[in-house]
Amino acid sequence: MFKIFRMHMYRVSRATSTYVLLGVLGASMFLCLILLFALYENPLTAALSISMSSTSLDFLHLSPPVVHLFFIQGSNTYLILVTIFSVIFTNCDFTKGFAKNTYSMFDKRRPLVFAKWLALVTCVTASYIVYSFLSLGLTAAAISAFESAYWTEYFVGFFVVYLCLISLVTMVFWITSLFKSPAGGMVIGILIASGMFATVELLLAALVARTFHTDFNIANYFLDYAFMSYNAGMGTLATVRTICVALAYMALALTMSVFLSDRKDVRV
Amino acid sequence: MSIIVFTDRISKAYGGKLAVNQVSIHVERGEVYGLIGRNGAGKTTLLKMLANLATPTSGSYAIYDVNGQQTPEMRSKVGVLIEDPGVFQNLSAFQNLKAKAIASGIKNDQYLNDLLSFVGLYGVGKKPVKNFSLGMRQRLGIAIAMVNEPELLLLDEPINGLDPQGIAEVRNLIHRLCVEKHISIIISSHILEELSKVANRYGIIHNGVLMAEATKEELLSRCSPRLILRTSDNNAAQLLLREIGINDFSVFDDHLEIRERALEGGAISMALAQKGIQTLEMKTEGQSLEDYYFRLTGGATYV
Repeated sequence: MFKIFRMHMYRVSRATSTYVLLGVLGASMFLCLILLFALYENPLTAALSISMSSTSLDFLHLSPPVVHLFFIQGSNTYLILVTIFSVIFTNCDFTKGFAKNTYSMFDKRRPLVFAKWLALVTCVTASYIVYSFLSLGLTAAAISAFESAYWTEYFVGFFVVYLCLISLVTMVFWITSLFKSPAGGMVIGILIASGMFATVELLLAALVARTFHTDFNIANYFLDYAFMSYNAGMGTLATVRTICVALAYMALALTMSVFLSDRKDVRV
Repeated sequence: MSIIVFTDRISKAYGGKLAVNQVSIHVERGEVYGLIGRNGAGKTTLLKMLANLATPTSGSYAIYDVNGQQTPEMRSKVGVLIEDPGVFQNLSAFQNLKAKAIASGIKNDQYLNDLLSFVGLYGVGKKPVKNFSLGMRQRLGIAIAMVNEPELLLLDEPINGLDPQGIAEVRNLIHRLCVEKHISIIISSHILEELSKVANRYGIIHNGVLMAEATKEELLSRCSPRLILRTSDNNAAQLLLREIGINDFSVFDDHLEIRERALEGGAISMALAQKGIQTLEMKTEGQSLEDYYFRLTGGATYV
């Protein structure tokens, strides 16, 4: 299994698309930084532009959790790029036919699929850590309004959002493996990452609440909605719920991807 | 010779249609097994099942090690080139080999360079595979299939779409793999003439059914010229044939079919006349491999 993991890491480190996506991610970070600078160098603009509900965070002050929220969840670009990367990564050895070289060497496919998922998670984890800390560092260095506060909230948010991100990536991994072409996984992944499904889920939640006269918000149990609406100031209950939702979706998607892999013919 | 691959009434259905129907083949260690059939005959599906890329609907198969044991490790000694070579187009030939080598646990870069030399791609450097010719890609595909030092190679239509020079290169490569590396090879093709130059055993597959399995010698024997002889006394003619040293012939109701020295009709006729046996009919019949294939499969226009 470790050999397959290393093989995926090798091929991804040599793929042109990896560096193209990293370039776009860098450009996106730069644009976010400019936007943040424009917002927080003018407190009046910030007050008008940034409004958040259900949170104890002070969004008028540029603290680490606010920076994290802005760069990771507020900017769909990061999520969309991670989704595109995940689809390309998952589908590449099938579309290029390389999978037949490796799949034919093993009796069982489950360890191969698990190793591939592990390689994908490793790449996304690396990008998340670098992107998060780099964006935080650049913000602290470039914007005078940055305040070193709310570090506990920052690390809680960092961890919960990471779980959601890996869960989303695992969902994309599974969805992509269902389609012959990467286009199917790409479209669904981008719809999720761009928040379009979250809008539908919000409407569904409103419909449920109106029909059953309840305060229960079903949207909180959809991964993408939970992911995008979560922020570090939402309190313990929301944090635990988001962690549970992320873990449940991740377990489901990983189980489906890994345990069903033996039953399918390999597309070559 | 020990068996390396054995299939037992293996079948594969797609949407209720049988692509492979109860095929039983056996491949002996060190031989080149040619799988002949039209496009859509079921060759690729059969190879995919042997490569663990498709699950048989029914039946079973086994791949054996040198001791005749069926072990999971033997799976790692199978190399495949099925349909197109599975390569990352933006990577170089070496990088593609390296990716497979990592997956196989091979760390020796020199071995990879030797493989590139073996298939005649050593000088390509860092050129991305997308800029390779079809023949170069096929040879790279074979090199990738060989990275894990296979004992069994499954090659599906490796000469498909190649120009004459490319075909000759791949043919020579296959020959060298067999002779120098002692690799057993199952090679499929619909180009009968080319297959006859590399394989020493054949399976003829048609509409998913194995029509015949024969060694090269058997196949040539079935295709070699025969002398059809009808005489006034076929029993006496049989005795005479044995007297003049011809033993390979068959007796039918009204004629004899002679396979040995079948082109010496004149001499046989003279010998018969000297013994007072009248020759009523004498003709030479023969068929090419292609004729034999057509006769088995009921004719075809594009094999």
